[in-house]
Amino acid sequence: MNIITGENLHFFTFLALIILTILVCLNLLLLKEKKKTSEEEFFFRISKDFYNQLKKLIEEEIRIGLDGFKKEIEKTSEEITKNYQLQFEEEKKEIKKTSSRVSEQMSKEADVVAKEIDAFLQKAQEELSQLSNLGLETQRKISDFGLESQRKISESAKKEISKLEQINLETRNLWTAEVKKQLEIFSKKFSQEFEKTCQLARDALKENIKETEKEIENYKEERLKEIDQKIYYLLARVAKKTIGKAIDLSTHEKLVMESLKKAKKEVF
Amino acid sequence: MEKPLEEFTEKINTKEELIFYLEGLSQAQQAAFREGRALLSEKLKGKISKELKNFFEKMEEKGMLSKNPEQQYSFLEKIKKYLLSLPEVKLEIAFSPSNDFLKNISLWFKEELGQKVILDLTVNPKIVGGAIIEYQGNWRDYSLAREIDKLINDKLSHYERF
Repeated sequence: MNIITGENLHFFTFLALIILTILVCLNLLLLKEKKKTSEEEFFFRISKDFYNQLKKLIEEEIRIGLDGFKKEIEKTSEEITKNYQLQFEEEKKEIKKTSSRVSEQMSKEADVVAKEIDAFLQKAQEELSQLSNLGLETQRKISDFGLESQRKISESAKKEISKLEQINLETRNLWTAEVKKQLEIFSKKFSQEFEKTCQLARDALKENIKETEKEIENYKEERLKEIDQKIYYLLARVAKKTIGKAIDLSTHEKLVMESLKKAKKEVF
Repeated sequence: MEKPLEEFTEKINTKEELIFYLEGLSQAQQAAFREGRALLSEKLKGKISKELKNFFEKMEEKGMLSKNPEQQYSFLEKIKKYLLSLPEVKLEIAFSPSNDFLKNISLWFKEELGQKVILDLTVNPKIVGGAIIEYQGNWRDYSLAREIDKLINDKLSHYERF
């Protein structure tokens, strides 16, 4: 088992940083205390160069201290890592042992379960065969029941068909009677309507005949009038010609003189 | 009116005769200047009708027509004007009248109207008998044809009434 995972590494780094921070803080406190005591003890003024050298010295000391800490941390972390690795190896071995033991136990249990399953399967097979037999029996029973039902249904259907045929016959008779009745009504109505229409047509025809006769009569009268007119005109023409030829000279002269006498009264 | 002129006018009954004599008078007018101073009857010897010649002679005898061509011309002109001034009667008859009948008609008009008239005569057998007369814009139909038509129309109108 590997103990150094990403999560553990972060944890150790964080731990190391905390420790380092604590150490730095302690160091600073010590320095401050030291400075305080030195300030309290020495009331003389220090030169700038001395201050700077002292500052450098302190910083050097801190750096050396920090390096030491760093190395110690590294060393500690390596030891921890090693410890963990060892622990991990042991746990690994333990797990292996446990797993082999568990697997053995499981195989034993599996054998038992397999045996049980086999037994169960055998029992199931037996039950299945029983069920199959039962199914066949049931099927046979169903088949018998089906045949019986079919026979019953067939008989019932025959009865129903005969009933329906009877109903059909009755219905047909009823329909025939109804149709006959309706036909008679329709025939009556039709004959009445037909008679009415015929009467109307006869009246219209009579009216038309009357009108036509009147028109013919008028036409006849007109034609007769025309013929009479023509006859009269013809008569007039004939009369004019015959009278003109028949009149002798003395009569002509007499007629002219009579005309003059008439004119004397009206014109002259 | 002079008697010779009256006698001459009596001879003119119809429009045809009037035209004939007017032509003779126009001819005489032309002849008046052609042969200088001479009697008109001599100038027109054998060239005009007998009636016209007699009329000129009678007038010459009475001294009403000299040898002067100008006087002759004006005399002839007066006669023409007189003849053209005579009233005209239009007469349509069915037969060709004799001269005697025409004379009778002329006489009748003279007696009835108191003046000489010229007959504008038309012969139309279609009028059957009688006459159609027009005088000074007045027209009258006294023909037998009209009488027959009237009779026929009366008959027809009588028929139509029934």
